[in-house]
Amino acid sequence: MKKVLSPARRRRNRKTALVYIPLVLFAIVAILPLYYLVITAMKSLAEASTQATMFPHSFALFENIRFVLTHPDYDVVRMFTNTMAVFALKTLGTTITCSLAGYAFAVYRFPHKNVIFIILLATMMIPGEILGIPIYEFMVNTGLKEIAYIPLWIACWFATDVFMIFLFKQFFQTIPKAYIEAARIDGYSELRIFWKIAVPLNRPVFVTAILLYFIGTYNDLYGPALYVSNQSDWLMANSITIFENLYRSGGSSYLVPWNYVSVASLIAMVPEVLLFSFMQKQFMESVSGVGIKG
Amino acid sequence: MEKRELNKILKRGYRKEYKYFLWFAGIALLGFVLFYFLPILRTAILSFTDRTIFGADPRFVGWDNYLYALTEDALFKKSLTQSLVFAAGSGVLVLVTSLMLAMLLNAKVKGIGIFRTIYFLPFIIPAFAVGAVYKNILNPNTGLINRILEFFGVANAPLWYVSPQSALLTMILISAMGFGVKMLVFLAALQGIPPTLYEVADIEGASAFRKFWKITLPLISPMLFLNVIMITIDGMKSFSLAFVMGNGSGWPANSTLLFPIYMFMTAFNMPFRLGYAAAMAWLFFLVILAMTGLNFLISRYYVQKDVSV
Repeated sequence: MKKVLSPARRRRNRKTALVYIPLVLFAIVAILPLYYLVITAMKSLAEASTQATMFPHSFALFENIRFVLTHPDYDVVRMFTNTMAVFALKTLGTTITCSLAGYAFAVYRFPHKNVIFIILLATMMIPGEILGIPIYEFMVNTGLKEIAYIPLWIACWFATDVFMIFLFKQFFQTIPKAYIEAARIDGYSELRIFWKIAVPLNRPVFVTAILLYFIGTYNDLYGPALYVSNQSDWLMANSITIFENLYRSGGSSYLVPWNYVSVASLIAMVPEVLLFSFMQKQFMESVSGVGIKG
Repeated sequence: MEKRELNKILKRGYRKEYKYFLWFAGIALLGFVLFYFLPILRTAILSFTDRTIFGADPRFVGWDNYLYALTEDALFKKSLTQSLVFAAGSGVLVLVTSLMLAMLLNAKVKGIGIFRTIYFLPFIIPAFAVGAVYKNILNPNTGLINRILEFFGVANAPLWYVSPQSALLTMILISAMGFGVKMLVFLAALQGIPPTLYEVADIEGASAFRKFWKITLPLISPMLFLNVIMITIDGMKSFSLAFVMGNGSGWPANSTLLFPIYMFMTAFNMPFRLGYAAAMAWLFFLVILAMTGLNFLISRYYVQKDVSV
């Protein structure tokens, strides 16, 4: 009797199998781009540009890397430093100012606070172009356009990412009011309450915010396409085009050296992958809390 | 008398809270004025002029920019239509994919953590690399997909992004891979549903479909609404993928020319017609506003009000 599985148990086993099949199928779909990027990076120029093999016949990874790194236009150290500097400034600015603003909206109470918040939220609908045109005009007229990537990061220090304010607000709302009252009675200043109580209690949301924001803006081509023109200022995003257009000669059809493009793409992904793998555990823990709180 | 006293105390309390609020959120309010309010005003003024970035004194042209966009500019109509098609197509795809994947990832089976990480992978590949990968995979002559189709004997394999007929559709399909954050929002909502509800439904012998329709969907409807709003706006504002796929100019034959790309080209390529682009930006804003309004109207029929998930 004990060896025979009960009908309920058998049903559960079948259900588990039914879950694993689509799970694995979609996992393949999700991995495919990355896998293809990696194997294309290994192929020789001839194979990469003429054949779509799933398993490379040639192995030219090191030659490809050498070719990309020694290409005269591809200054990897400089592009990497530029990218890191810009994105550190952006992410830091957004995290600091948006967490402060989110805290203010979550903790303090006064009439019409929600009206202010709804007005802020409504700005998410405004297309970037409506704002971008005058800002571009301003940056060109004042000559700030080419100085230290100011157009790319300056807005981040003014808590302009409303989604981030919203995210922080949702989390800070869960701090029990009594903690804050108690700290006030103990003579803590408001900033100290934020720093010593609110921040430590909500560390996961900072991880989430940093990661989401970094990846989100790293994917964005709008800013770099608009404000980065000098070759010495190029960011990682610009590096792909060097190799995409390597054999371009004016005509509409031209050979794209996918192996070099893939190597350049993989190198450009290094910062993201590093950040993701460092923060992944905390990140995955915290995302399960994003929607529920508040 | 007493009431006035109380009001006074309350007001003093508010004043203090208000002061602290300004300490913390002051920079955000300043940012709102500098980076939202003033630019919007400036765009509104620009839209009535023929300003170019390097041109001499701009002239006031009245409603000419708006009229030109609405009546004469064929590309305006084409790019706006394509953006609407893209937003609708990619919106539905992303919504369905992200909800389906979130439900899969919510299953309590072994190794689900690994799958969660894997499913997040497409999100960490930057758009510029994604575009390159799909251009490679979908290349009509050498790409993987057409090779597979050939293997199965398909004679006229699609030309994907190379042909003006299929380029937009190809882009919509690729955009389905952008489910990352939406999937996480759904996953969070799903994890908030008390398991007891499903247990009761099981006892009563409810089918899987019925459980989804009567328990899951109503309980995640607030998050569904949030995602619908975000996906619609994201789709309309979509820029990076189209920029890569269309070589920055809507190639081939303007078939991937989404509205933000067209606006970008008008404003920031020669001859930098800022005034005209500003007028287009305003018209675009009205379209997004209308769509968001529509979303709010429709949401009345599916968002559950008393859900505290």
